[in-house]
Amino acid sequence: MTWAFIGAGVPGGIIVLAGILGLFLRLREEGFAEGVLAPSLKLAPGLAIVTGLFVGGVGLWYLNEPLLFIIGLVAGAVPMTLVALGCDALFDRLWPSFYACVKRETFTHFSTPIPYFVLFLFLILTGFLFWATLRGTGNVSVRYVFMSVASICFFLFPLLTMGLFARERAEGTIEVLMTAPVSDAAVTVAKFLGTMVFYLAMLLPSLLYYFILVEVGREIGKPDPGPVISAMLGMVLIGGFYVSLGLFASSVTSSQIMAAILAWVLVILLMLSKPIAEVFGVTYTWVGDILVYLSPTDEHLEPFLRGVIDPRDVVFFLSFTVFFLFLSVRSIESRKWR
Amino acid sequence: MTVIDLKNVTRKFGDLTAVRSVSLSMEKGICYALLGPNGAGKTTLSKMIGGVLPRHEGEMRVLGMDPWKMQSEVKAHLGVVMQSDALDDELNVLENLRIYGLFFWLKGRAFRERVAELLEFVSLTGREKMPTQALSGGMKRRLLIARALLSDPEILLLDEPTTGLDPQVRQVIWTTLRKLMEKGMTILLTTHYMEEASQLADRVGILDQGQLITEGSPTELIHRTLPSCVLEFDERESPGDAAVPDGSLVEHHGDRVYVFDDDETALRNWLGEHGISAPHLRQTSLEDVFLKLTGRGLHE
Repeated sequence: MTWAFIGAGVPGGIIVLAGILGLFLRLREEGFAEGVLAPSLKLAPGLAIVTGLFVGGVGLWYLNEPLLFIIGLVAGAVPMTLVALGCDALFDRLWPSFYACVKRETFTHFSTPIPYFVLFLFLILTGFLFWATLRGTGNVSVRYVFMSVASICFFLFPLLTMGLFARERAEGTIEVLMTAPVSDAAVTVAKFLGTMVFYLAMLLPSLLYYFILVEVGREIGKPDPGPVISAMLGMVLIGGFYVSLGLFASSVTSSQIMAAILAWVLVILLMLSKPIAEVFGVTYTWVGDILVYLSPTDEHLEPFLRGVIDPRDVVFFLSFTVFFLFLSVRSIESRKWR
Repeated sequence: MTVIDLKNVTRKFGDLTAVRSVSLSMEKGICYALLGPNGAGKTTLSKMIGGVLPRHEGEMRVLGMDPWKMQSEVKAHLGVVMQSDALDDELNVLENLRIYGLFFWLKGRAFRERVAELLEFVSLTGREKMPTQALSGGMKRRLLIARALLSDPEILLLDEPTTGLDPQVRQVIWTTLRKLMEKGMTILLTTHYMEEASQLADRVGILDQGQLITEGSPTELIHRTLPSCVLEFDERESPGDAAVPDGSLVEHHGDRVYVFDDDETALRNWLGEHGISAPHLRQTSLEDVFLKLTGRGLHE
């Protein structure tokens, strides 16, 4: 328990301090009126509500104490808002050119219709699958919930990533980035991070399913929170994997439809690599080993959903994410030579 | 001081050679106009100078640096207005400027002061909160110029800045560019509007099929290429090429005839002798030079 507190408290403390420092620097640089009215503050009410509801909701759920909801609302909202705004100001100060790209991408995701359509589909489908699994199996398991979330992600991600380069190229807005003093690698990583911010916002409501499982399984015992944490980590990692793959698909074409189709084909090939090995009877050969290794959900996500964090799985997702980001950068650069 | 220096620069797209062994140099503080028909290679050359595209052959120096090998360093000193209205429609005027300003580490009080100054300069004061989608074509071009000037660049690259705009808006943009030139800004302008080049440029280079076929000041180019006066009339009234004054140059384009001569009086007399109705006698323009050098047929 002590180590858990240290593990969570030290990085958390550093983030809080960094946030407060960033906010202080912004206010000092821009003056109180201008600093507080900075555009990033537009996000503050949303952050306050989401964090407050989450922290307050947890308190209400576990302890059944309405007052805790109010306390949680304030206790969660205020520091989180401060931290987010402060970190925003700090990144602005440390590496503004790169951070400008990230902000631009994040703004784009939150202000164009397609990501909201994806979010809508995601929530509807995961909700339905959760309900169907619970009703069909009666099994109170986080594993089934996140497995269904992951299977929906593979279908929806290409919709989220298809426009990252393709739309910009078609609309000419890519010129803004190409003429700015930022490298192709910075642009690519910024697009990746901007999409990940949206994905995390999309993923967050999935945690509600855990609390529903807690309520459903009240009589037979609460589900272990450990697998929830590992499953969330797994979902973040597989999200990065899908986003980088979609980003690569978007970098090789100017057509959003083609980018989406290419991403789907790549994801389906990877997901089917294990069954392909079985169908061709090469499971126990070196070819089979490679094909089985390439299967992201069956081989590498499944342990996370069981509560097992295996470094080999972490390395798989991270290395493939970096690999696809590298391919995207090379693709952007090579187009300039053709 | 030479700020842009190109030697035998070549750029290909597959089998097509878009820029063919172009050499040119540009001094600090001048406005250089690259003229050329569509597909002549103006935008490609401009993008190579801006570090957006690499070259296949030749040497390039922008502010003493190789624009491809030192992209970020060169881009930090350039302001670029590309042909397309590359504005983020999801953001308003101020947010578009804020994001771009961050690319150049421009923020806080310095950003606010610079934005106020630039929006006034391009006559967009009071429109900070306006969505860019709601801006007219002229406003968008002016906003793009303001955005390009945010970093106080040493060189401004303008790729067809007034294409598709009405004459009034074009005049406003020319006035804005003249003010910049008065402040000593170095401008590289690509255009296919001859009037734009005549109005703004100190030097003009004419590109055709990827090659720089001539360059010089607008007056030099006219004097070097054609006689100073031109008589233009309908071909149906032409008495035949043999009947033109001695030493005159005759060109035919569609149903129009152009007779060039340095002696305006001789052209007037000849006009009187042949009784041509609705003639147009005028000074030779850059457009005549352009059409003479690049041909009057379509380049498609």
